[in-house]
This record gives sequence, structure tokens and C-alpha cells, in this order.
Amino acid sequence: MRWFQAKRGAAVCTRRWIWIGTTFLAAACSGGDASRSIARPDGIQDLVTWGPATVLEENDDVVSVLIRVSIDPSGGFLIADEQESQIRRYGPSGNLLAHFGSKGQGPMEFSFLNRAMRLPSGEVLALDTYYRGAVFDSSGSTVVRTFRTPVGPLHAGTILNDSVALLGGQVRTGRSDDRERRLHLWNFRRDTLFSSFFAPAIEGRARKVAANTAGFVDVAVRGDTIAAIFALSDTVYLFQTNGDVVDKIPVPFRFFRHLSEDVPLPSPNAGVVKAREWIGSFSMIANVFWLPDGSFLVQYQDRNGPTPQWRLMHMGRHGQHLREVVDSPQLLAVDSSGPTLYFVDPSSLTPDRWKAARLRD
Amino acid sequence: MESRSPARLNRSCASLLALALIWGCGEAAPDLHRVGERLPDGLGQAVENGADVVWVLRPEDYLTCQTAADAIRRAQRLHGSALEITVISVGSRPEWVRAFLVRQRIDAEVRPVPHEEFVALFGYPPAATLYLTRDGVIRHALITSPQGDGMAAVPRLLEDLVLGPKEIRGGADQLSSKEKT
Repeated sequence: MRWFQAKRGAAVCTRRWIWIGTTFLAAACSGGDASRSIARPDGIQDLVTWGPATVLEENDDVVSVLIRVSIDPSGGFLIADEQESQIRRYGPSGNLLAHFGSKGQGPMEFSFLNRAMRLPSGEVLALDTYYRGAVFDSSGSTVVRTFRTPVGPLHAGTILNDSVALLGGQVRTGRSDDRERRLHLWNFRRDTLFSSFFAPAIEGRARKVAANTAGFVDVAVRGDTIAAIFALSDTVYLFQTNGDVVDKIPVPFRFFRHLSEDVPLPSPNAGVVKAREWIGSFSMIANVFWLPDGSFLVQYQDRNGPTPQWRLMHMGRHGQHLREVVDSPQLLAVDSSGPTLYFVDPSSLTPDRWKAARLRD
Repeated sequence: MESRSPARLNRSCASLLALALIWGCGEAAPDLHRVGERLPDGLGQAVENGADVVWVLRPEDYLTCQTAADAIRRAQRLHGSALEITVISVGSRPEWVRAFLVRQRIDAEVRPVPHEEFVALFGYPPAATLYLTRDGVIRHALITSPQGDGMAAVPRLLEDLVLGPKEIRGGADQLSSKEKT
């Protein structure tokens, strides 16, 4: 039974109308203001126009399971598959050019591969979720060097130049206030952590518990400015590359479900199902993408057990609400040269099938 | 899942059930069915001369330990439709199990079995287990650590059970390129 390639269309339409009805009822019962009580989410077709579909080539050794995508300036894509701990180079049409890396502790191996990115030098930087990384030659056939980092679990990573990576996560050593900072500048050529910043406020017992489980961060860089998000905070934070705060922009969500301290925490013995149901009671921001016109795409999720349900917010540089889609396919990457957005194909349940898109004017 | 190894399918003539015991991220192993025994009747999945994996999953298994998923996925890609996988979903939320399998790219039939029924069928509480049988008989028992150390052996065990021991089967050299070092 090929249910894992089944179509999502009918279920998508049904869920949108359920969401609209639930939102209306919830607002009415809570006495929300008139504009919020009739807020209606946008459809993905209100946000984008669709382009060509792409199917990532797979074979006996290559299957897309849990992937993170970076645009390869050389053309095509670099993909890090966390579940397979494999790096893949794909051409623009989804043709597999190379794959390397595997599970393990050796130089070309990873525990949970998190990111793979092309350096200005042409080499490939690969980051594990836990405390290490490697630089490969441009083809991926040779490890140039390996290194250990103090950051783990890694939630985000991007390249600032040919020597410095911006890592998102926490360090487990150092002073307690150091450990609260979630962005770090790491010189991977010299194995040097030279700056840490961004300590989002986490107050309240529920938020502390949620932050331990789902305290993700993500980053986007434009010029000499870093945009960062924290999973539980409805704000886009802007920093200079030295860590100085530039701005804090509230995200004008209409459908984001904030974590409530009034919802009882599951007891320690309640079991994983109850824990997952509690995690499913609030939304979490997953990604931020910074577009050439200065606007942001903020992707957030609501979990249903093991499955994330994706939402996508398009906001202006100064916090203007543009569009908010509550039943979005997963946005994997943005190529700023278009800008072209790469989504998991809305009709696919697996991440090997994509569709390109452009934002509507 | 489409077979990518038709030659292997043609050679396979045995059921394939791997018994890999994953003890719920560190739990003590219950007294399970052992090598040489048969799985209880009533599950409806046992194929005497076919390849069959029966994977017992509880929510605390698929929401935490996913190391077995890696091994099963690789084995399924290697052996294709020669490897039939049935997941016995014990506990609430069988729809979560289906979603988990989709995300893990594993093609499997899911059979929800209430906890009480599982105990009645098996005679012990459910634990995270893989049952791999050949000709309806359990052939291997594999206990893994929470880190999934034992899972590395599963592909080789499955290959031996599908294709027969290397010293007997022909074309072993064709397979060596597929073995991970």
C-alpha cells in the first residue's frame, strides 16, 4: 500500500475549514475583538504562484528522510539528511550528483548530521547536531579537516565567511549566563568560539520546560545583519554580526497558539503520549527566511504527535502583516536570486518531491 | 516500496523475519518468544514461506527510539517487496504510528492491537521488538542498547535469512558492494 505517497489535497481543504471554524468559535467564546474573531487564514495560493516540480533522485543508497536544504551557489542544492547522516549534492533538476557521509564517529561520519553548506572556497562545511563538524573538499570525496564545537544540540547554522559559521544552539560549558546564549560565532578554521549572544527571556515553568524540549532557534543573514527567531517567542530579533542588538520586530501572528502557563504540565510519569499532546497545545516557530525586499517569511509548526503541521507568515520589514497560511507545505529553502521558494510538494507526504514557487505581488 | 533489487527477489525463497529486540531505550527485556518458536496465532501476518517482519511499537518507542527505523528502512530498500513488514501498534494513537512510518520512509501495514489483547496473545506485556522469522519460525533475537548499537547487525542478519548463508549462496561478490563497512 503506497499510502506514504498518498495525496494530501482533500485532507488539506478539510483541515483549512476546520481551522477556520475552530478559530471563529474560540475567538467568540473568548470574547476576542471583532477583527480577530473573523480572521481568516490565507491559502498557499494567496501567497505564491507555483513553478516547476522537482523530484530528488533516490537509489539503494539514497533516500530522503529528514532533510535540511541549502542553496548551492555552484548550482543546485546541498542536502543534509539527519536521519541518514548523509550529505547529497543535487543539480537544479534534482539529479543526484554525489552523496557522502554516513552514521558513525569517523571523519566522514556523523551522529545526526544537521547542516551541509558550500563555503566561498568551494569546500563543503558539514555540521553535526552534537559538538562536531567537518570540512570536505568541493566534491565531498575527501575530508579536509574535522573539528569539535561547544554547541549542542545544534539548531541552526549558516556561513558568514570562509572561516566563520554562525551556530544556533547552546553551549554546555562556561558560566551560566553563557549557557543561556543561543547564537555563537565559530571560527572553524581555528576551532575558536569568539562571540556568543541572544539569550531570549524564558519565564514561567511551562516555558522553561518547553524551552528544554523545543528551544529551537533559526537564523538568516542579510549583509552584516543577522535575523534570529526563537521557537517560543513571537519576535524577529535583529543583530549586527558582533552581536549588538539592532531591532526586535513583533511577528503579527493571527493564528499562532502561544504557550499558556494555565495549561497543566504533564506529570513526569504521564508518559510520552501525554507529553506530546502537551507539546501539541502550542505553536513553535521553526524557521526564518529573509527576502531580498527586506520582508520575512516566518515558518512555524503545530505538532500532531510526530508530525509537524506547517504554517507560514509573510511579514514586512517593520512587522506588517502581509499573509499567513495555516496549512502550508513545508518551506525548505529560499534562493534569494529569484527569489525562488522551494516547498515540499503539497501533494506529497515525503520530502523528496518539491515544488518551486514565487511570491505573489 | 518498489523493489530496487529484482535479482535478490528472484533468489529469495524464504520468509524473512528478523527478531531484533529493542528494549524501549534501556528497559529490561521481558520474557519474549525465543528463537525457534513461532509467533502467536491471531496476528494474521505470519507467512510460512514469505518474508515477514513483525515490529511491535508502543508510543514510547516511536516517539523516542528511532534507531530500529534506520535499520528497517535500509533493509527494506535492499530487499524491496521480498520483505513484508507489519507493525503491531500497541496503545493509543495508531494514526501517530502511521505518520511515523511515513516520515521514516518505511512501507508497512499497521495493525492496532489493544494492550490487553497483546498480553492475551503473547503472554507478556508489549515491548519494542522486531520479530524476524523464516518459514514461520523465529530465527534471530537482537537486543540493542538505547544508542541502537545492535541495529548495525540487522541488515546482515536479514540478508543471511533472505538469501541464505554466504557460503551456500551464489553471487556473494555481487552483494559485497552493498555491504556497509
